[in-house]
Amino acid sequence: MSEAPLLRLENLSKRFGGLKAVSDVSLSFGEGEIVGLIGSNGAGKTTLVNLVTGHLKPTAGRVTFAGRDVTGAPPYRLARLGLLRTFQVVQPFAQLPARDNVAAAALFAGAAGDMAAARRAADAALERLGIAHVADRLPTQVTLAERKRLELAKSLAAKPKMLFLDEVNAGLNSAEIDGVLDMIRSIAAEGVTIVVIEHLMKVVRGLCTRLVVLHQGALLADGPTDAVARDPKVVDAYLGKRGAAMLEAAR
Amino acid sequence: MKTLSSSPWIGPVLALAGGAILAFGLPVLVGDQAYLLRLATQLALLVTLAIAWNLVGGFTGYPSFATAAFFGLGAYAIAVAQQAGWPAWSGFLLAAVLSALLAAPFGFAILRLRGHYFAIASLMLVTILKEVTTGWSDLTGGGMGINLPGAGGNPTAIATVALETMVILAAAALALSMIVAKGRLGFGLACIRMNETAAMGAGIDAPRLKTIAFTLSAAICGLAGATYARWIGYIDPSDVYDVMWSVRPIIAALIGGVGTVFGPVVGSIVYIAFEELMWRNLLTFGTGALGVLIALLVLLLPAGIIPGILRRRAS
Amino acid sequence: MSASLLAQVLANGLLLGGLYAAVAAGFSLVWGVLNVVNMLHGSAIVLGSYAAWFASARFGVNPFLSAIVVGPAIGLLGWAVQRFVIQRVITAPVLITLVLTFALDLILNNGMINAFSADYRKVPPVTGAILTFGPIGLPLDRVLAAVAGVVVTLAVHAYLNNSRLGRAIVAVRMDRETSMLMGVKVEHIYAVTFGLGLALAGIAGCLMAVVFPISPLNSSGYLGIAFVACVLGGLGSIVGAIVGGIVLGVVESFGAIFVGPEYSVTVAAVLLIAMLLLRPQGLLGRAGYE
Repeated sequence: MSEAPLLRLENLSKRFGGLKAVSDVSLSFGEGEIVGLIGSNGAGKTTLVNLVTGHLKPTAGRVTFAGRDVTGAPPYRLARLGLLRTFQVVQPFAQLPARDNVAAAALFAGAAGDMAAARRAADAALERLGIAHVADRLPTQVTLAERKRLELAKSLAAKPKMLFLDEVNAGLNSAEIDGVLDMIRSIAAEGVTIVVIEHLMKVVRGLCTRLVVLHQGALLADGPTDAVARDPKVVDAYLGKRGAAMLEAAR
Repeated sequence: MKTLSSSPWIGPVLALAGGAILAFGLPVLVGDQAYLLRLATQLALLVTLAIAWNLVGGFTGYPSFATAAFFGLGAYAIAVAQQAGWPAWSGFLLAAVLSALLAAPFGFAILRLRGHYFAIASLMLVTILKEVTTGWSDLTGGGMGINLPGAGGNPTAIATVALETMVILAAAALALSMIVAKGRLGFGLACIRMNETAAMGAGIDAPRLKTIAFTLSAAICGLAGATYARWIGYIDPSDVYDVMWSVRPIIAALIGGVGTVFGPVVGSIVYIAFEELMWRNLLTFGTGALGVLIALLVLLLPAGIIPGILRRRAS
Repeated sequence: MSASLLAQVLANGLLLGGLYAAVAAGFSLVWGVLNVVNMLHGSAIVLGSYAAWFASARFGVNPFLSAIVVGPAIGLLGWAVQRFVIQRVITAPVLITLVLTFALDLILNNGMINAFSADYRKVPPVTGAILTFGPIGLPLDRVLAAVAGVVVTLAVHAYLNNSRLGRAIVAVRMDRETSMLMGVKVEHIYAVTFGLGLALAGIAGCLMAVVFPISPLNSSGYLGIAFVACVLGGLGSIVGAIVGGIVLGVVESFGAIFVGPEYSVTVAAVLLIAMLLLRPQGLLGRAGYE
């Protein structure tokens, strides 16, 4: 990559007691990329995302975002810088209507000047994700698919430069997934870098131009989707023969 | 309330104006009836403390038991300042500033704890201040307590000034609480209460906001303690650091509705009424009867009397 | 400070710690399993002390023996309180259970003040003998009480690990949802655990009565000891309560010498807050149950 990457991880490690959850991972992400982060359960995907987005502090290594050293920076600072994430289990503010859920991100991370501006930004984000009709409802009163979009809307309202989407498609049906994928593509088209943590091969194959594979906390492979999917190491460690076949078939 | 919400300042201004009218109107109404003066001052005190607690325990969702610590600190701050010959206003200032200066670093540290752990750590501050105050007898008079100069004047005059000060303080606390609730700070605190992880992810500087709420709350409690000390004229550690100063505001807020703006006010009125009835009729088992009342309250209407009634009517 | 004084202070601290272990064990158990901070615990200990005093004054039975009856009796009371009162709000936020048990504490404590007055009472010495080890002198009553405190606590630990019911309690502590799926009746376990916790409080009260004067005013102090020892040792762990109790006893004993006895609670409170901030999982290192 010729220009300076948006996000750079250098030798990032995290230990829990004696266990190395993430060990010595170095990666770079450029503007507008859509990258798939894959690996079996316990490979360290979510830990890596937590390290990068400030929910965990690394034991060693460095994180640089948009030219700044943000190693160990708290999540709210990263959110304000434009580095955001969604959680595997959606995390709404349960007693706030959807609009205010999104407005919180617009106000505190997206630099909306006041509450009124934040609510306008929230409405725009909800509209864009096709869930304007739930604006006045509580998060508990909307469907799972809508809740997932609500999470995306929150991230969008924060004016992101980069988004980590942790299993944003889990629990959705095929049509719902297609809708979400279109949205992700359109967000990326504006120059937002997107990293999806995924189990669904269909999503990875259809969406990502690049794959990063973690295995037992370490980086196993990193490259264009096709090449990584055929990499024998990856096939052995993660995909298995059947997964590779599925990936091939999904082409 | 919808019509009032057009300008965020109308509510607070009304609260202050109402407070001023009450503060100077009540003494005229009550005259020199010592019992009523005392009751009204007690009510205003409880309202103040309940509103202060609600900033942390209600808006932010951190069950603080530190109210008594800052209440006692404020009381001792003004007592010591007045003994040193400082004017009253500087004693109040000292009470607020000392409470805030202690609350900011202590709050920042313990607000990392959640639930029971936070509650206990905050309770420990009461114990620590109580012992330090008792032990530092050169300054505080130790367990013997301390007299405020100027006490022993005309009791009605002292009681009247105390009532005025306390009501104005309560009104100011209410106005502040309204401003916080409507503003950016209150919105951030609400998000923290509902889901702190998500709040941080949405760019909310949770440690800072929590510390601000805790510090504001402490400063109000310090001022309330200072007003109390001037009212009573004599304080000792076992009185002003009594853990009931922490618990009564919580009960009041629970009655009226935790995390609402007016809940602490309404709850305090209900609480004081019950307490008076009980002290009068069950003098020997006063605290025990209070325990029964609190237990019934929590068991029957855990969301508060006022919200409970409203909900019942709605359904 | 001479070596013999040092040894004496350490010995005093260890004896105190043995009692503190018993004070903290039931509290820790209830907190760990039910996620309830039982504000009633201190008063339950005082109730045990009064029961021991009553047995001694009326029937001439010493507290070590009366504990055998007093513990289960107060435990039964605890079972009922949990089953019929606290259980109703067991899923409510922390604040609610705190306030409820505080209210119950007000009732019990005030009842005791009415029944016995706030005056201090004393149980006559059981043996009155002093054991001497070189320069160190230890009252035999204190030694017996401390040993009994640790033995009772260890017995509960053994019961939890070896009996069917005990293992169900441990299972609920570890993972409530899964235990429910496996057919454990959580309500029942909660009531039994709370009963067990208060039974321990009652026994601790009997042992405290051997050593200390009795007054309802002691209850908040006992509660504080339980808090600190519990956090020091690690929440919900019975062995942790022993470690925490002993550490607290020793720290308090030395604190009385170096800082002055009037600051004993401050020393404990500072220790507690430092512990919460630096090592919330307790000295023994198991994570808390958040």
